Amino acid sequence: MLYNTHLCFLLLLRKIEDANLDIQTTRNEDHFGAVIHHLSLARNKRCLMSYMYNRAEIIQSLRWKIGPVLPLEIQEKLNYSEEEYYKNHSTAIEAYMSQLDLDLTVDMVPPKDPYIRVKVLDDIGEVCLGDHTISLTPQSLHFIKRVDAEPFILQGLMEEFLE
Amino acid sequence: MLSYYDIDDILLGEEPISVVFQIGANGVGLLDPGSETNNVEKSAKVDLPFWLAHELYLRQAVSINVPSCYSLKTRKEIQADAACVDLRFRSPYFYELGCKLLPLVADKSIGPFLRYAFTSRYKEILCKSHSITGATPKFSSKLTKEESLLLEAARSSMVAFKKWRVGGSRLEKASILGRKRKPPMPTQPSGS
Repeated sequence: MLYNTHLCFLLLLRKIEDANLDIQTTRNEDHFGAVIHHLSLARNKRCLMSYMYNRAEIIQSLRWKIGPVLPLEIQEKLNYSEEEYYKNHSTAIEAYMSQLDLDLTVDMVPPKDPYIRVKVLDDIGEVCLGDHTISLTPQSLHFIKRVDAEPFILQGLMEEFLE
Repeated sequence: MLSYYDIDDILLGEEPISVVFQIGANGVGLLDPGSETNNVEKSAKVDLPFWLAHELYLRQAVSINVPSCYSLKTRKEIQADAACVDLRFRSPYFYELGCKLLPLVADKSIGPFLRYAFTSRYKEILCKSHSITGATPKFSSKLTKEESLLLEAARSSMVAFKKWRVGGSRLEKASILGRKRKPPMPTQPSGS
């Protein structure tokens, strides 16, 4: 389709030249035909660019919402260069955060208490939190640091436990 | 706000606009279904998407007719009861398209008309946003894109306010993860 439009565009330009008219100033039927084909090309390009750009924006936001590893159901929807983009974006953020020595992706909601009571929903297994390891088995309750719990909650593996 | 990548701005450009060609154009016969050759003749009346109509107007190749959604009939309906008029059916980008068309057409009364329509409908949207809950009601199917966003914003801030008053967990699973599509229903074995 794109190729066809381009071909029509070139044909019309050729036609103007063959009639020995100045391509800069001629405003005949061939000129407007060519203009329409040219505008169509630009329009198609804009649609495609916008599609890619908006996907890229969403992919960027995933790093902040979900974390460095994407669940399979999302990952299988990305193409190769999008996966690369996600990895590179993730690496860039992590490099910056390790320079600052601060995890920027947590505490998006201002915390009231540095500790939080959570219920484990999925089998997470042994996890090393700070200076000790705890076993996060389903349905168990824990009282842990909010910053540690936050990534698990975002991924849907635990929930805040409220009395 | 408007950018090259703006999806709404692109979709707005797809709205059909009736134009009259002031000069013919060769090799674009597919734009005019009535054309027997591959060309559009001079003074042919054709529906073009807004983005193309706009560009050609700037090059003085076409003149633009005011679309029927801003006709006298619509104006009378709006005057009678603004909130009951189905604007989405007329154009999901009723206001935005009107604003963009205004410099291109001779009829300047579209501007005040749009403002009147928007302000009178806005009141209704705010009132309804507090009372409706759950499934999409009949009312919201009549709203333009912009109005639906307003309704949704009003509704979600009301929900957030109620949640804040009750108190509760403020940390939740990322909303994008909940959107997993359900697998198709297994087909029932037929017969005995």
